[in-house]
Amino acid sequence: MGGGEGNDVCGRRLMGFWWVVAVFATIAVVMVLLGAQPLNEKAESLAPSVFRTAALAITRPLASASDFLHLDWPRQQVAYGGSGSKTQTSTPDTTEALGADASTTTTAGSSGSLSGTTTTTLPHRASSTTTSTITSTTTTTVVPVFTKVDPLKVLVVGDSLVSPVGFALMRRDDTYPALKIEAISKASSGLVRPDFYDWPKAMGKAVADFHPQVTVILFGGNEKQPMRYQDRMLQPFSEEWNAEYARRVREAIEITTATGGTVVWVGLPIMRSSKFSETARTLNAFYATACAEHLGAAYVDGYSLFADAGGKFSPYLTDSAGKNRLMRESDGIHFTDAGGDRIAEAVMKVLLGRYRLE
Amino acid sequence: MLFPTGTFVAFFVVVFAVSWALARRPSAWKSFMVAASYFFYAFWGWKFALLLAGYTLVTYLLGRLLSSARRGRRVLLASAVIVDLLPLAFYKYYGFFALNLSEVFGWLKLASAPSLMQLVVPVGLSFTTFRALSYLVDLYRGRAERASLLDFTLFMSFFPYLAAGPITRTTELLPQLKSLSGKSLDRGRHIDVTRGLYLITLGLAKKVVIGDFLARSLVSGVFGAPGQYSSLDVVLGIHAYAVQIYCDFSGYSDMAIGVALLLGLVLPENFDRPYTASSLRDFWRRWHITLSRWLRDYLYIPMGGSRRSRLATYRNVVVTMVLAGLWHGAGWTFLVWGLLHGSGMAVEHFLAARRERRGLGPATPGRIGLIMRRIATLEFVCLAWIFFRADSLAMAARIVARTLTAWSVAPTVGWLVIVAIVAGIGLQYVPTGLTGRLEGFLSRRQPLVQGLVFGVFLFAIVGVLGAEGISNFIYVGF
Repeated sequence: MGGGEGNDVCGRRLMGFWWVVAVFATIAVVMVLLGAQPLNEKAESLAPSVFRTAALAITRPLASASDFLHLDWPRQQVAYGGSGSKTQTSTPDTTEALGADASTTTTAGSSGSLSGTTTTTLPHRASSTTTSTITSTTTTTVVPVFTKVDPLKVLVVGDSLVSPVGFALMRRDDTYPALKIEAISKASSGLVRPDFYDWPKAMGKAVADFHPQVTVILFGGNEKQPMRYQDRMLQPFSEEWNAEYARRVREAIEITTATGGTVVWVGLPIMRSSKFSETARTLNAFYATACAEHLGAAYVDGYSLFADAGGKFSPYLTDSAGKNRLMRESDGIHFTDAGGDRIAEAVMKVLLGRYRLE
Repeated sequence: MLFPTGTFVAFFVVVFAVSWALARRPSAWKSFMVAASYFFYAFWGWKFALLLAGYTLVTYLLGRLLSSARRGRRVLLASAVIVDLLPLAFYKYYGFFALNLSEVFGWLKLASAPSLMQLVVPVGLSFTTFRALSYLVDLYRGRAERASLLDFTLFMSFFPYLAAGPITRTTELLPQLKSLSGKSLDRGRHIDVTRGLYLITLGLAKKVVIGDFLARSLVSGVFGAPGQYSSLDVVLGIHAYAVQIYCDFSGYSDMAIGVALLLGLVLPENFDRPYTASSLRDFWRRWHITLSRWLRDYLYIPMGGSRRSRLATYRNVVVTMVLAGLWHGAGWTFLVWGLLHGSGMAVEHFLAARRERRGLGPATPGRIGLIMRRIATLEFVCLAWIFFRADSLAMAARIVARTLTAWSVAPTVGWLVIVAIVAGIGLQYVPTGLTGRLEGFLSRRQPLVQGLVFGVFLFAIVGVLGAEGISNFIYVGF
C-alpha cells in the first residue's frame, strides 16, 4: 500500500505509508530505549504471571542496554534531584507542597510555650476527647498553650485525598492564628509503593525540617495493590501483605512522632463504590489498630464521618451550620472543599481537646 | 481514556493502522471509526456510550423530521432543541438547582425539597449538545444537508474531539466525511504527519511543562488557602492560573487537532494567542474560538445581535456571556465570570457606539496605547478567572481581598514559577510565521530524523517531566 516519500504541498512534505511507518517506528524505538529503566521497573512490579515473564524478557535486555549507554541519565537527574540514585534523601520536587506561608519562615525546633513551669509536652496525656467520630484516649498533665508567635505546628501528609484537608486547616488561620500548617500531598501515592514515592523518607525529612507537634495522616486511596517485599510481590490483603502493611503503618507513626510529636490519623471515608468502601473499611482497621497501640495517637473515623444517617454513602451532607453541602467530588472518592472542612473540623476537635490555641 | 496515557497510545496505534488499511473503503473506514470512537468513550463508562448512542439516534431522527417538514418547522426546531437540551439540563444542572432550592425551602421552613442527587455528568456532554444543536439549526437554516446515519454518528462521536472539543460544526466535518471516496482517501493517505506530531508534542509540552507545573507549584495553593500567601503571591497565582488554563485547554485542542490530522481530517483551530488581545471582544475572537463562534451564530445573532437598539445589544451580549458562563459549570461563580465578561463587552460596545455617534472611526491606539490596552485586557481576564477557578463566591471574595491586604516587597514563590508565567504569556507574542517555518523545516527532514526529534521531545515531556502522572484536562470536566 501506498507510497514512500510524500508530496510537497506549500513547502511541506506530505508522507506516504512507509514514511509514516518509519517516523512512528523511530519514535517508538527512541522512547523505548530512553524509557527502558522505568519500563523494566514497571514489569518487575507486576504480579507473577506469563505477562510479567514476557515483559521482563523484553525489558531486561533493553534496560541493560540503556544502562550501558547511560540513556537513563536525564530521567534520573530529574526524578532523583541530580543524585542519579534512588538513595537520595530529599523529597522529590514534584510533590505538591500545599500553601506557603508568606509572612513567616519555617523555623525548626520551636515548641509551644506552656502555661506553668512543669511541662509534659508529648505525648499529651490528658482529657479524653470523644465525639461520635473520634476515638482518642490520652491524658495530659498540662495543656500546652500556643500563640501566633509560637504556633502549634501541624504537618499534614497523604495522598490526593489529603489536599482539601490541608487547605481546610490552612483556611482556619483567621480563627486560629496560633496554628501553623505545613502540608505535603502526593497524588497516586501510598505506603505500598515506595518505589513511586518514598513516604518514610519524605515524612522523615518533613519532620526533621518542620518539627511538628502534630502530624495529620490520611492514606489509603491507592493502597490496594501488590507490594514488593524482599524481592517478592505480595498480593493485596494476603496474610503477608497484611503483616507488612501493618508494619509500614506503625513505621509511619513512629517516624512522624520521632521528634516528640503526636499523630492524628484520618481513616478513609465511605466511597460511592461498595467495593471501594469495603477496601476502605479493611484499610481503616490497620490505621485504627496502629493508633490504639501508639500512645498519644488519635484516630478520626473518616468512614462514618461521611456516611449519612443510614450509614450509606451520600455526596451531600449537612455542615456545621446546618446547610446541605456537596462534600464529595463526582468520582465518589475525593473531597470537595466542604468535605475538607468537615475533616478539618474533626481534626480541630482533637487538637482543641489537647492544646490551647490563643 | 485521556490522550497522554499509554492506553491511548496503544489504542491509537491500532486505530491508525486499521484506518490506513481501510483507506479505499469509505463506508468501512467510517464504520470502524465509529466503533473506535465508542470504544474510546466507553472507557469512561459503557452507560455513557449507550447514552451517546441514544442521543445521536434521537437527534438524527429529529433532523430527518426537520428536513422533511414543510410546515411548522419553527415549532419543530424549538421542540427539537428542547429535547436535545434535556440531558444537559438534567445531568449538569439538576444538582445545582436542587441544592439551591433546598436552601430556599430551608429559609421558608418548608419541609419538602427536591432530593439531592450527585449525577455523574457524562464526559463531553456539553460539547456533544453543542454539536447536536448546530446540526439541527443548520438543517433548519438550510446551511447543512441531511447527513446519512453513519456520517452523523461519526460526526457526533469522533473521538479526537469527543471529550473537550474543538466544537466542530456539521459544516466543517460532514463535507469532509461526505467527500471520502476511494480516490480522495487514496490521496488522503499522503498526510501531514509532521504537523500532526508537532501539534501533539506542542500540546503535551504546554500541558505538562507549564500547565501542570503551575497548578502544582502555586495555583492550587493560592485558590485553596489564599491566607497562606502574600498579596503579590496571590496576584502571581491568579496569573499562573490564567497561564495554566490556557496551556491546559489549548494543549488539549492542539492534541485533538493533531490526532485528527493523522487520521486525515481537519478540525478548526481553537486558540489564537488570546493573551495578546487588546480588548475583550478581541479576546473572544482568540480564546476558545469554536465556542465563541457557536455562541455568536446560534445564540447572540438569533437573539437580535447588534441589529436592534443599543440597549438590546448590551442585553444580548450580557445574556450570551452569562449563558456561556453557565455552560462551563453549574455554579454562581461561573455565572459571575460570564457576567463580568458580558458587562465588560457591553461597555466596549457602548464606547464604540459613542465614538460612532461623535463621527469618529474605530479607535486606533498608538504603540503605548496598544500595550496599555493589552495589559488592561489581560488583567480584566485574570480578574474574571478568579471566579472561574474559585470553589465558591466566598472563596473568590477572599482571594480578591487577599490581593489587597497582605502586600510584601518580594514574592516568595520560586523563580521557576515566575519564568513559567512569563513564558506562558510571552510565548504568545512569538510570530506564527516563525513556528510555521520550524514546522516546514522539520517536515522536509528524513523520517529517521523526524522520528528522532519527536521521540526525544515526547520522552522528555511524558517520560521525564510527566513521569509521575499527568493531571486531568480542565475542560474534560465541562
